[in-house]
Amino acid sequence: MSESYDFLFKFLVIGSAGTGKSCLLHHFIEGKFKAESNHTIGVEFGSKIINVGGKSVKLQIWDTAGQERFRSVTRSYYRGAAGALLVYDLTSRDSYNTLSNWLGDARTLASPNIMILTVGNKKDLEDERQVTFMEASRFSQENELMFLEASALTGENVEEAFLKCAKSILAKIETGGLCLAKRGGRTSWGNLGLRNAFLRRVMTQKS
Amino acid sequence: MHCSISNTLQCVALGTMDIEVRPPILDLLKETPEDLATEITHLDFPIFKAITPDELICCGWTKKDKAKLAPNVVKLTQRFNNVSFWVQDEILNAGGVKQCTAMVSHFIKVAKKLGDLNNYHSQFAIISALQSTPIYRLRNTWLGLSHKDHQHYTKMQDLFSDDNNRENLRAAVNTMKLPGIPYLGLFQTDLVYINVSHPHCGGQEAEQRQKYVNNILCMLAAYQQSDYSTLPQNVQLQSYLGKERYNETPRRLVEDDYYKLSLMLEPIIHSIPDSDSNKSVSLPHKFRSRNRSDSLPCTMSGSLGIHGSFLIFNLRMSGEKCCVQGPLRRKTIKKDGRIYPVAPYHRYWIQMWGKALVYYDPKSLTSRGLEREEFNSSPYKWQGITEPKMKLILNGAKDAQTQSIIFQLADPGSDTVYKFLAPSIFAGLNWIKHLRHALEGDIQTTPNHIMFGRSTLHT
Repeated sequence: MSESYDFLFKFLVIGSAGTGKSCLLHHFIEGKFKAESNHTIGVEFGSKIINVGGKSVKLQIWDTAGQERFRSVTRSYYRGAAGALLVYDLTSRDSYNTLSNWLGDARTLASPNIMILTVGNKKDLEDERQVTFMEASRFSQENELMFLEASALTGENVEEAFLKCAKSILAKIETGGLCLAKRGGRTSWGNLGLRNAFLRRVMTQKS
Repeated sequence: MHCSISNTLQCVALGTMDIEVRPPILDLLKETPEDLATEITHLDFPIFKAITPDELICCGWTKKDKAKLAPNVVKLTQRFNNVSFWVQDEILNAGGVKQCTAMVSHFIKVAKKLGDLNNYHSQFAIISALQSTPIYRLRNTWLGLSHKDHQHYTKMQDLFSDDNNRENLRAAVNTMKLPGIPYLGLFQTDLVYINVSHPHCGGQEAEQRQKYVNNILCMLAAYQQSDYSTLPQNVQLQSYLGKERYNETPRRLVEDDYYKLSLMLEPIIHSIPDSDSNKSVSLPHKFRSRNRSDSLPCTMSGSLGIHGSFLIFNLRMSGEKCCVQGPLRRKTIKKDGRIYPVAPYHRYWIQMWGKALVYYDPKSLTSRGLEREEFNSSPYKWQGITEPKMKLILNGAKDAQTQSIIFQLADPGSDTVYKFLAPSIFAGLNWIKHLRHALEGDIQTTPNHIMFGRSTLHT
């Protein structure tokens, strides 16, 4: 089975247990898991091709839902990640308070170029809200993160979260902010021809 | 609890190596990998065996009252983290690079033996400890490993790789023969996803869900039939290994302290050893900190590599503020006792955070710009100015103008002197004011051309 795409981005979903990371992912990939006949989650589970500004981008999303308490979040998990969704539950103060820990992990283990988007999940539970929009927005700004509130239940802003993150990675690549020549770079390229064309363009722009 | 653990580690970090505060000492290297692996397994298995289906079906460990809903799952997770912390602790406190290498090699052998016993649970705990930042970055330690150890380690690393939803580990667990202890995390993730895609609501969905969940429970139940009773028991070793070192709460603090220990063992000099770039070399430690009261890493100096943004983040998190910043030119007058008579000036954007200077190098070597945009956004290196005898030396030149745009920072401890050149009198005065404040008046006004017998102005 061959599929074509221009870019391949590795995405992480991080955050404390119970914040609904798996729900977000499940919603985003449109219940692919449900269709899997195998008793274990398939290897292609967690990937989706999206269209960003006319380019097709395959997002390969990695999630460790259910394993949050294991200190097994190893380098390989973060290595090569182009983007990450940092998820908290806006009805749980605790989950918000641990954001800095997760961010610390991402900052130490991932590439400094990683694009991180904070997601306040469970927007539908407005009555139980414990973290205000302003507060989380300020936290994100201070730490140079993007920010969105979403609901995996209603689907509000779920797709947008992934798209927004992917968009800014692409933007960063196009402005030359991401070094493409580096070995083991964060962004894989689906199509070598396109990559070369792109590199040429970048180079001519520079000269 | 919080404090005592942190203090303990700080004592160790201080270099006092306080034996009393550490768990019962035994020479780990004298215990064979077989014995260690066997006793670790003896400790893991009863907890794994005690896990009931109820704990798993409702994903109790993801809930707030997890200790009540899934006590054994929580215990097994704690075992995992405990082993992982223990491994890091032993390596970091081994007492030098050579000893660290011996310890890493020993743990690779223990992990291998755990693999022979099909104890994927603790095998993963050890591998993840070896991959943790404090251990992973010890370049010289890893360089000392034998080829064979390296091979074993790489093999195990591949086994636990995240690739394709842990394809390798899944394959291994699915085909393993009893007795064995799988890595529970695999099943936990699957159960979370089953819960998400087939919520517990009855109807047709229930059947699908039932099928998936049963499948996992059956597999686990089979592994729980394992029998390790034929393996020899070593009570003394077991009591040592079973000691609860860290409860769950302060693990972030523990990790931070490990990172500091790791920095002391092999400080960052050029760049962080990264799997992608193996060029960097850690040089011997020259900026050994003597002042541990400061929780920030600014008591040492070095280049930052990928840790740059993390440092700023850390400084910010600990309530530090950047009190002064701006473009400065710096040159080395003396470094580690060696005088550099014709060192060039380098341009930096420098920020002062509390008692540390953070350097940003220019984006282009040719530009002369003084704006922030002309310099990189992530830090290049940093320098602590809390060394006990760090001195600010004000230039003794005659005219007032020179006096206020040039100043020097001297660290007699490492016999290093840097000279700074500010772009304007105002900026110079501002820097001197803040440095004066940070160094609490420890200022020397010896004219430096007397100190080094050289004229001082190179503009």
